[in-house]
Amino acid sequence: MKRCADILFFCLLCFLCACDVIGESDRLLPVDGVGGEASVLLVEFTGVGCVNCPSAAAEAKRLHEYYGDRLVVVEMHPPANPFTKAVPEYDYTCAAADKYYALYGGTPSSPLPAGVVNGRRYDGTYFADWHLWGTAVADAASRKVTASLDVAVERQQQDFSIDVSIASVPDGAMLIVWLTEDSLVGAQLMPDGSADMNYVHNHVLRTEVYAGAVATQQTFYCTLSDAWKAEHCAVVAVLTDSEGAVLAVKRTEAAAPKDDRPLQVIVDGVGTLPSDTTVVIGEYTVNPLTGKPLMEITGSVFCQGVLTVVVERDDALYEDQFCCADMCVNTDYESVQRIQFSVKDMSRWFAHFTPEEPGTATITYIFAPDNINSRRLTVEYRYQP
Amino acid sequence: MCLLLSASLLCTAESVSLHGRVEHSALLGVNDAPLNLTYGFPYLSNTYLDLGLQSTYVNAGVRLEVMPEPLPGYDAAFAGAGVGNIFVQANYKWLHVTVGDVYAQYGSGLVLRLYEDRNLGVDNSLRGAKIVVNPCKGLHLEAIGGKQRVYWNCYQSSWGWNYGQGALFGGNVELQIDEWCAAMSEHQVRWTVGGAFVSRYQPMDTVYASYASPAIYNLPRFVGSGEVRTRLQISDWTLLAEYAYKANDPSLDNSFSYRHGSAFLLSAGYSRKGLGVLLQMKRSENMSFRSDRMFRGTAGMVNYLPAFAPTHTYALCALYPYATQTSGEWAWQAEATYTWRKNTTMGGKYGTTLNLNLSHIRGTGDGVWSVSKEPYYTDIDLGLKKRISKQWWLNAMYMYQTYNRFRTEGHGGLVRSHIFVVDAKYQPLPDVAVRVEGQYLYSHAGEGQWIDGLIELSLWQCLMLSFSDMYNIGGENYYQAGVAFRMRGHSLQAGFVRQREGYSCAGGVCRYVPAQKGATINYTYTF
Repeated sequence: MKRCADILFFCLLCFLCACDVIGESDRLLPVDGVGGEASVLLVEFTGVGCVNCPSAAAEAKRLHEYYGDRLVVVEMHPPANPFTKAVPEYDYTCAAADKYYALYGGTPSSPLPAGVVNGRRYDGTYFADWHLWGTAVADAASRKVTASLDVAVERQQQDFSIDVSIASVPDGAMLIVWLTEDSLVGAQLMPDGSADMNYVHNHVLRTEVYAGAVATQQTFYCTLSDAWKAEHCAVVAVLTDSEGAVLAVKRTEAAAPKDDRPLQVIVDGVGTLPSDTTVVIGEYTVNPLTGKPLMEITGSVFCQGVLTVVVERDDALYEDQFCCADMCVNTDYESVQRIQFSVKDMSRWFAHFTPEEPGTATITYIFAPDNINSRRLTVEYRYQP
Repeated sequence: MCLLLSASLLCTAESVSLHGRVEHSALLGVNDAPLNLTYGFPYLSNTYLDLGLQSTYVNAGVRLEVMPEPLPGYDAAFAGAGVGNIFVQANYKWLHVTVGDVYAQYGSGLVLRLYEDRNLGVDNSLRGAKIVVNPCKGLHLEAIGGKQRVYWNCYQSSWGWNYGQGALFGGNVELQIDEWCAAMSEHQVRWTVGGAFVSRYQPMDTVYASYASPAIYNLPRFVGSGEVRTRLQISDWTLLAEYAYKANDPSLDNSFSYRHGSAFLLSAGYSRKGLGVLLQMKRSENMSFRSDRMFRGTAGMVNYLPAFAPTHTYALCALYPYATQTSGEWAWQAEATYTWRKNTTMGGKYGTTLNLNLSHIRGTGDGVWSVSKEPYYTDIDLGLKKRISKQWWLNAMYMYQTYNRFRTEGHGGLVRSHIFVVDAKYQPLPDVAVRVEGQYLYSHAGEGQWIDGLIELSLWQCLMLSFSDMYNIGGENYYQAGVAFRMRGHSLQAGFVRQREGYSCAGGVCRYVPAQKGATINYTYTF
């Protein structure tokens, strides 16, 4: 019996010794920042039906904030994985995503999210859980820089021209050129199971422009689908060794095309205003909501960037409204109103005027993209019931 | 070398027996466009060869596994080939020592359960040693230690047989109190008290917690888990209580949380001829325990959390199987079985058995005793078994099921189903039997309504022909036809199947099984 008691005591002692309890204040160990100058590619396999993917995307964002342009994130939605097709109206899949998903060992039953850092295995597998991306990226970023590449991208409407130059091409190196798109607003299942219909997907792989042998200077051309917004697209060029491990990566946005077309203001029924113009509006309708008379002038405007519209009028009291580029402002009771709209290419505008009494009211609309170019449109609203 | 040594020892033993089993399961895949099935390599198979030697003092065993292109749905690292299991066990009086790949379970498995389940793709044996000592009456001691097996290609090891990075060691003590007290034995009282501990040692990994002010998690090298349990049996009554505790174990499973884990299990049962009642409850929280903190899925599991959801064999009842939520859950189960004797009003000429099961599982709340409002799973099923005549048997069942698809599968909402099953067997001759089964599932959610039919013909106790069809009303048709033959230890099943994707579960542990189509073969030989 004493022998049994000794054995029991020994067992209890073993249990008490075999356990580390980390106090709350000791749970984080500060470390030095990551050194090195290497660029890193993080391929994030994700899906709109994947509830844990927003957490992974947030981690990728945190990493990007820390590493800046050194870290290039590409979001891939492989159609082979059923979680990418949970919401058919928001399909961000492409064949190239499937290609790399299969290359890294992905199957229809592989869990998402999963990340691949620099095309290398981490702990024996390509796919790394998002909790481990920080460690894998830090390890990749601290490696020695063995190659670099320069990329220049020009775009004209939906046409992209991509120049890739590499000072010294390593033996057996390969080049991959991808096109990605930012600011894709659509559905995404969240960790609590709800659907966020205004979720913003960034760096989504749209197509693979090129994958093959590399030379010191190469030019590629790509025409974007009409469904893609060229101003949100960027080019990711990846230089790899013969086994697919990333040597260098660079993300380049396309420079906005130069547009020499001057400001154009068009008034429906009148045409393009070559200079300052006066228009008389006599017709009116009755606003069904207020029962009051409503006079309207419509047209369109073309410019690039921010358009300033100045509304000037006499001292008569009335209500009116000016709308452009899907934004409306009320211009009440102030003799001069200065309103700014962000206009891309062609935008529609209209102005409403509600007269309080018969007579003529004069309102001047000045369309000014800058201090030099402007068009002055003076409208005489002649209300005669 | 181990086998040769064993063989030489065995030559001096009084009796030596050799036993073994060969198992080969294969799928010859056929592409199916509606199911998005494309088989790059059409012949997928899992093959096992088990050999064992038994004698008075020494046992030994070896298992060869060959699965270069395994059946669909297993982990990517599951593929490989080699010696999956090898051991030598020496037995002498009260001492048993096993060296090699060992299995063990302590209590209900809340801190340790090492087992093999080929359907799930689980083989979490330890490669090390196990010592079992019964030094005196009523005392059972066990110690175990080693590194745990994790498939073939987990870390791309050139050895093929991969380990988790952690090393495990532990012990189990069990006291059979009634063996020290004669009065207890006389009054049919059996009382067991036990305890176990398991600890994992794993070097620290570098896992970043923040980047703005760079910091990594201070991960504990030793993670300990312990449990105490007692089982009291008085005549027809049984009472079991078990409590397990796990110290901080930040891992991928719990997003590197430092919260401690716990599990509590209470079970009471009454059983006598014709009547059985079982009541049990369980609460667990953060009790996922692995031999490597970086593992997910079915890899590297050390412990086992029983699911109180019954395992159903009828296809539609098993359409939405529940997987134990290691993050935490409350579970309650009540089961009763009553048999009316034959030649009674309810029992009829041959007797009637009624079975009722009630299972309900919910999430945990903020406090220890609080329960989440979110249901995870509910199973209410009422089954009737009756032999109608000398040749006819009838089983009927109604089941109401609530299944939280989001919790278990990561998508979807709550699926409520009503399931009706009728199963009839006709045996006109001792060697001839026909079984017909019809099932219907009604639900507004999930995949909607299903019907399932099965017909099975058994001949001469060695041959069986079967055909079944499962139809998702308004959707796809899934069918299988097969023939099975058994003779003198040989068993051969061949068939053709078109199977939907789903989950294969056993005791709350689940494996995702993708859709499949093709010819199937399963051969086993036991000797």
